[in-house]
Amino acid sequence: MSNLAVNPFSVTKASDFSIEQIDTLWVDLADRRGMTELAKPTSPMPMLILGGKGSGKTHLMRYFSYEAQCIRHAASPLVGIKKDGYLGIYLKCESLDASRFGSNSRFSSELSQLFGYHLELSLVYLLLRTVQRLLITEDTPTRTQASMARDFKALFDREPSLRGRSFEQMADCIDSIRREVDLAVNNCAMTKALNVPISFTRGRLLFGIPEFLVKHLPSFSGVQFQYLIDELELLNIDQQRHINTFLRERRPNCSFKVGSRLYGIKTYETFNDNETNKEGSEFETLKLDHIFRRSPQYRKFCRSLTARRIKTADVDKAISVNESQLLDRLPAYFDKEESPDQGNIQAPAIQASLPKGERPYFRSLQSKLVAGLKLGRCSGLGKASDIEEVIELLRRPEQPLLEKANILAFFKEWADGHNLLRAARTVSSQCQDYLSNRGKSGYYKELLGHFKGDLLAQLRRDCDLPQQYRGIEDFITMSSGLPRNLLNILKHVYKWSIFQGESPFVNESVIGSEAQSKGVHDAAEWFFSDAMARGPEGAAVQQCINRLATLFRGIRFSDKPSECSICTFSACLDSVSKEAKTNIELAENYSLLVKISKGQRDRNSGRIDSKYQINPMLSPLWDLPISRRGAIALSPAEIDAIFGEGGSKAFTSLLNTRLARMTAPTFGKKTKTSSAQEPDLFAK
Amino acid sequence: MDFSLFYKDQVALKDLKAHSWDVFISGFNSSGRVQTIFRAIRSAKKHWLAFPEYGYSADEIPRGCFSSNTREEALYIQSFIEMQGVVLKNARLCVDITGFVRPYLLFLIRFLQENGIREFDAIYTEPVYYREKENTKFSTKITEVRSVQGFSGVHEQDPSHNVLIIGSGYDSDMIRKVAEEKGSCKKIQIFGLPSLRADMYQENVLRAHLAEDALGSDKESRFAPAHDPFITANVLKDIVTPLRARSELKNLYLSPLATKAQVLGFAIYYLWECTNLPASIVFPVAEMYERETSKGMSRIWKYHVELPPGPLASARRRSRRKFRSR
Repeated sequence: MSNLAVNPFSVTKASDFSIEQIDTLWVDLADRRGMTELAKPTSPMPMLILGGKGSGKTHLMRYFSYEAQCIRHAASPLVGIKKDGYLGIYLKCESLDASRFGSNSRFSSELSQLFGYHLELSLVYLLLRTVQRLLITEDTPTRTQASMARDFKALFDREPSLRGRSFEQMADCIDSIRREVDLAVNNCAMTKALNVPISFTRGRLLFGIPEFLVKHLPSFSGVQFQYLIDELELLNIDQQRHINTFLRERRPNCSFKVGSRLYGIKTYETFNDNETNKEGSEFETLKLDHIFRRSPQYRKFCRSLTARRIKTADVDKAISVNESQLLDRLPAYFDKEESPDQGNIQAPAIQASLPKGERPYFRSLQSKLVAGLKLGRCSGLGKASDIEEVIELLRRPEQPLLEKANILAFFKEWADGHNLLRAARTVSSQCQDYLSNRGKSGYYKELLGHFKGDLLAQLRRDCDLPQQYRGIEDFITMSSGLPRNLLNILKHVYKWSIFQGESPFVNESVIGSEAQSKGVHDAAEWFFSDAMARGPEGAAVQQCINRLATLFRGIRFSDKPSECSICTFSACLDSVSKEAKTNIELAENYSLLVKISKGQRDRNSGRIDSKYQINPMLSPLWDLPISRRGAIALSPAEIDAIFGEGGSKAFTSLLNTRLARMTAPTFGKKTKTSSAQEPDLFAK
Repeated sequence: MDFSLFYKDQVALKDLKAHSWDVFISGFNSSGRVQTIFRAIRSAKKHWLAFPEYGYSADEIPRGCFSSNTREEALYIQSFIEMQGVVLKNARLCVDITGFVRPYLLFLIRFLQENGIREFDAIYTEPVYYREKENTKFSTKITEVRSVQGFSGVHEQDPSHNVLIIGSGYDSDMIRKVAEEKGSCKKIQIFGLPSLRADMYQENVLRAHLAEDALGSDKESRFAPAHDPFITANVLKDIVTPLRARSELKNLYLSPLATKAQVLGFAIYYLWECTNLPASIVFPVAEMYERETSKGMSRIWKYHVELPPGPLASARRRSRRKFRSR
């Protein structure tokens, strides 16, 4: 069986795409008019398009650029653009080499002013080149050209050297001014001089050129000129003020879409009397990853994106089905163990891997009971044969998952100090009831429903099996609103599948569990190291996440987890240390933590606390669940131990205290031997 | 220009005494490689430069050592020349590049060029090994990626056909930062091969692999000897010339992140071939550098560097001539 010519997911960044690929690989959200309705390219209101790394900002902005519009309206771009109602002028801040304007203390104020000038020249140059290309086949009357050239010159305070009347010559004129600025800026460190005459007042060209275009050329009437400025995070505060000033001073037929990472907005201030731009008045915001996380169409969007990638990579026609059939078949390409949710409570893969002889969880229970007896913490048990009886009552050899559920129910009784022999009999009878009458609701069914995922995870660990993160739906959940995360998982899974000798996505082939498991793990490692900025700041946040995930893992694999599917915490952040607050904010900005917008109501005070989920992309690194259910409430002291300066000692103390409450035989209660120990910082 | 015609010599430490210069400049750090050479060199004037990125306090640096808190390479070098009264005209100059922080080294060469220096000697001493092998830490907290002062070109505004050539060293954070900053560029990595020591190539590749994702899919690898600036300059030329001939290169960005010998090669190539092109040398600026990253002294190299006339000085001369002829 032949394979696809290339890994369909090898390119994960829109900046690596050609403009043709931007168009071909574009997949829209299926909500009403999709991204067009959300991004509003015809709106005069400026917009900040924000999102985590890989949320699709660049793809979206390039899709709205003139170059992509031309591909969509290849027959008649001018007519198409008029129909679209906007013309997109795309500029990447990378191309400005903006750092040059901030790296010379001798001329810092002059360079700041020159940056705004240079930015306007760059945008106007792109606009004029775009118009020149658009009108190349149009026959503009000589008189109109002359009028436009006159209007163009009138925008300047100093007569520009315009050699002709065409847009090409106007663009050349702008380019020569820009080059003068570049030369002066580049050489000022060497020459110790910076004298650049300013030829026009701020905003005159940026807003004036669209005005005369509309005045002279009916093709542009009703067209919104959208300046699409990408990668705002590359600009410093002072440089962002220039962009904010343009947003504030915009004219009706011009607007801006400004793309930035979540943490990239450094200021809302302007140079316009130091006024600050306000959301709703000067701009609106589109948070891409937030939209993706909330949209019910996100899953469909991701599946379509995957199918489009596969089909586009199939240049040799190795796949016999069309894109729509491929989309339908997508889940079947990934080997997925039948879930116990579907009535199969026997978990065959686990059963097959269980060691012969006594099962590890019963061995562990027995040793805990023996220890409990010694400590006098086993109410109702007096002798060794009682322990045997308890274990026999909890056995269900054909259903290891139910054995785990029995043990969990038993631990809950034990933690409450009940008679253990009686508790084992009750659990056994509840289990029997559940087996005979599965549809009937009750305590046992509820317990199993809540903790099934965790019990299966514990079973897999008992059997030395890797945790399950398999199938396209799991991968979509893990992407958590960042499509690049999904592409990265698929990239690594595809790579491993080829390595295993499989033919992924070709005809009826299936990607095996090993390739999926290894691919997911590689993608998680990539995300953990790539998401965060390097250096001490990044290392500190990584350490915080490591601590948080270690706590979650400890709870998940404890005897009596306090919450099911734990990957979320809530906390009141008002009284935590400044450092902890900063680290949580950084982790959120870099998408290592996902903020749950509704927060969590505190059980005692009714106060709404902040709530965060650890990004499910990281789950495989600590064997955590990818979907959230329960959340633990952390105290300010606990938050400081995880995210603050407390260091490893404070965290170890927190971890031990928390886990002791979930561990037999003492469940965190003081025994005669431990009562003499020092009180614990985190003990309730 | 065939850069392989430039002179280079391998010199034994004891034989250094056979050479002498008028001015010797060296970057101060705790490495034995740097301090031994400073002691062994015969020169009428010897200058230590302590760079702020090493974080030395006043009592940790040798007497007479120039130091400044500015992290602007132009300001730093110009202040050094002015404050120490360094006379460059007609001087036989030698620069030990081993302990220099890269942007300062680059600017110094550009400064020499604009001040009429057409040739000088550069010393580079190889280590026996890096302290923690491939896990050696070189820099801390990269604050920004920017063009090195004196090495900025006037770029085209066309986003297509931009190329970033990275001299890939051990510092994967630096590779990653510069690759991310120049995200739309095609990336070409130059690895040091032959490396300074046999195992260093593998260590180098292992480290560079950590930045693989930032480098993207449109990337390729080339090789140049880690100890040879002149072959490095030739390799750069061999990469760039065909790309330009095929009109596959609009804007060129060079980022020398590997050995100081290769940094010198990047500078020589830029000054000879790129000053009138849309080309810049870009560098991920770090807040701090480790004071000592290597162990032992291996080969000592003496490179004889020749520079073209400085473009700014030439332009000044041309305009003066023009003025006189009127």
